[in-house]
Amino acid sequence: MTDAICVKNITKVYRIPTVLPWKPAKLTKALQNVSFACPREKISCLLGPNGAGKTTIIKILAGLILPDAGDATTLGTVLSKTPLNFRVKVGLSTPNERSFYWRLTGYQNLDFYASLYGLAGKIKRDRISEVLDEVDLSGDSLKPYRLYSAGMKQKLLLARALLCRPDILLLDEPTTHLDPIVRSAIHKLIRERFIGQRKTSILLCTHDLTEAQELADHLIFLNEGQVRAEGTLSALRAKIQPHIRLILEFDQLPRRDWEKSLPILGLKYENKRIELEVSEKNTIPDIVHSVVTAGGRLLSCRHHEESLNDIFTRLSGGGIS
Amino acid sequence: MKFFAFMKKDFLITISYRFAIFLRFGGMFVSLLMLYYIGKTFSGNISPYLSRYGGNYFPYVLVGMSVSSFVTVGLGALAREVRSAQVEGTLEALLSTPTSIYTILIGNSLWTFIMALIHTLFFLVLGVLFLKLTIMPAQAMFGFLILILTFAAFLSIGMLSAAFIMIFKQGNPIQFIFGTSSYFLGGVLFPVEILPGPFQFIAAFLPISHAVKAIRELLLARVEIYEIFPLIFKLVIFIVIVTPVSIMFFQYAVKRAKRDGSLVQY
Repeated sequence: MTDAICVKNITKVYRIPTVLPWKPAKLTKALQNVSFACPREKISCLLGPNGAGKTTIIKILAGLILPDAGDATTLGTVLSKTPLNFRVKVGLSTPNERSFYWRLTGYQNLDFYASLYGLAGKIKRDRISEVLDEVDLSGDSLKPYRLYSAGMKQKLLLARALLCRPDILLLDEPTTHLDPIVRSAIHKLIRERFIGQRKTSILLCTHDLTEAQELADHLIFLNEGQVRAEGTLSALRAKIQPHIRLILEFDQLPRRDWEKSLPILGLKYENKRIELEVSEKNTIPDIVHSVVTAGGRLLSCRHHEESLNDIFTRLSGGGIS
Repeated sequence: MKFFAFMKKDFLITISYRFAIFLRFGGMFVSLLMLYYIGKTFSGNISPYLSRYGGNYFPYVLVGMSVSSFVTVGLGALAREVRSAQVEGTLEALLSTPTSIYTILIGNSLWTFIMALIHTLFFLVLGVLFLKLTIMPAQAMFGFLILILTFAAFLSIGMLSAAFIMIFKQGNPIQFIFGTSSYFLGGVLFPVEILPGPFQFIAAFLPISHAVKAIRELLLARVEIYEIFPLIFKLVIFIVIVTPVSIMFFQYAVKRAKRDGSLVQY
């Protein structure tokens, strides 16, 4: 099965005009030979700091910016050769609350955009009701858009992206500026409805690590216009932390020779705490047995995993290529 | 269908600003009265230029103003729509639907065209009902066709304007050149014939000159329809020459804006 999105060697250079018109424009490389793939019916998360090139990628995939080099395929179709009508398969949601008409109601806004997707009559009305129900906005659909809260505006953006029943959803910062409760509701919506029921493939771009950790099945780390790493969270973690790190806390430390004959890769004492690394999980029972036999009064033993924050910091610093 | 959606959207937005509608029609009524009294001041065959059109300045200038409202719409609507869609942020959302940029531009301009038509009809109806203006229905119908041609001619120039806005965001030389010259040289408020020779030469290349003259001949001088065919022919020639150039230039502007990543910047 082909990937939902496959980006191949995309490069994009922006000309930034200088203040003085006679000075040549500065060239900024927004994307340099960017390649990655997003699996079908999964949430792929494009993660990176501000200015990493995430929005440029989303806009290239939506056909709003032309790349200088490279190409992409969506569901196997080459983007540069995609006819206008194929775009109905891709839904875009950008964090631009001004992209609706403020004097119209939520329903009237969706009605207008549904017409631009070629929907008419009963099909259009049913589709609007369907997406409004889906994002839980039916009760507020007749309110003027200008009276919507930030969360309702975000939900309407998602509803608009769903109007064309897309196979691929491009979500650019879908929960920016939202409170934790609305954020959580939108995460649930994305996970349960868009992936669970609709089986949509999603490319979500964010710099919010918690959001990425909660939602992403597949991560793409972008920094300074380059893909630093790509894969599942566990695969990325394995890249920067190839061994298993254990933290043992004691009421009383064991004798110092407890670790002899055990395949321990690194060991560090810190007050009544021991941090160690092993390569295999099946050595953990032996370790626990050894420390107890050596007189240690063990309070806890936990497996320490690098957080996404740690991974992100390491990758943003160029730790992994 | 998509054009209808644009018109419905703009209609709903327009009626949501009720006070503005009231003021607009009030303003139109006041302008009409002003033109009427200016006409009355200069009535009585004072000017030999007006004798062909019944010697009354009021209907003469009313026709000029009606055509000029279509010129304003045709010339400025596309550029204004591009600019407001850039500033409001709707252009990106519109372009991410399967709708061509031309449908978006023309669709967004249709309501202003209808408003200009309502404006003109309002002028004419009030003129006929209360200010002794006489217009024959058959001639009015043909006049309407000339207005559509005028709108099309200025729409093609307006597309060039929109291309400039697409690239440079602000600063529009086309609007400056055609807008200013059309009102001054196009015979809206006074006949082209009273201008010096070089200005009359330039006026011959402006579509508004031919449109205004054709409608005045038709409605006020009451000539036979075939007699204004040469004027209509000039309008058509203008449309045929300028439209393809405008479309090519606009296509280039969209491609360049997409390449620069500046499509929705302002």
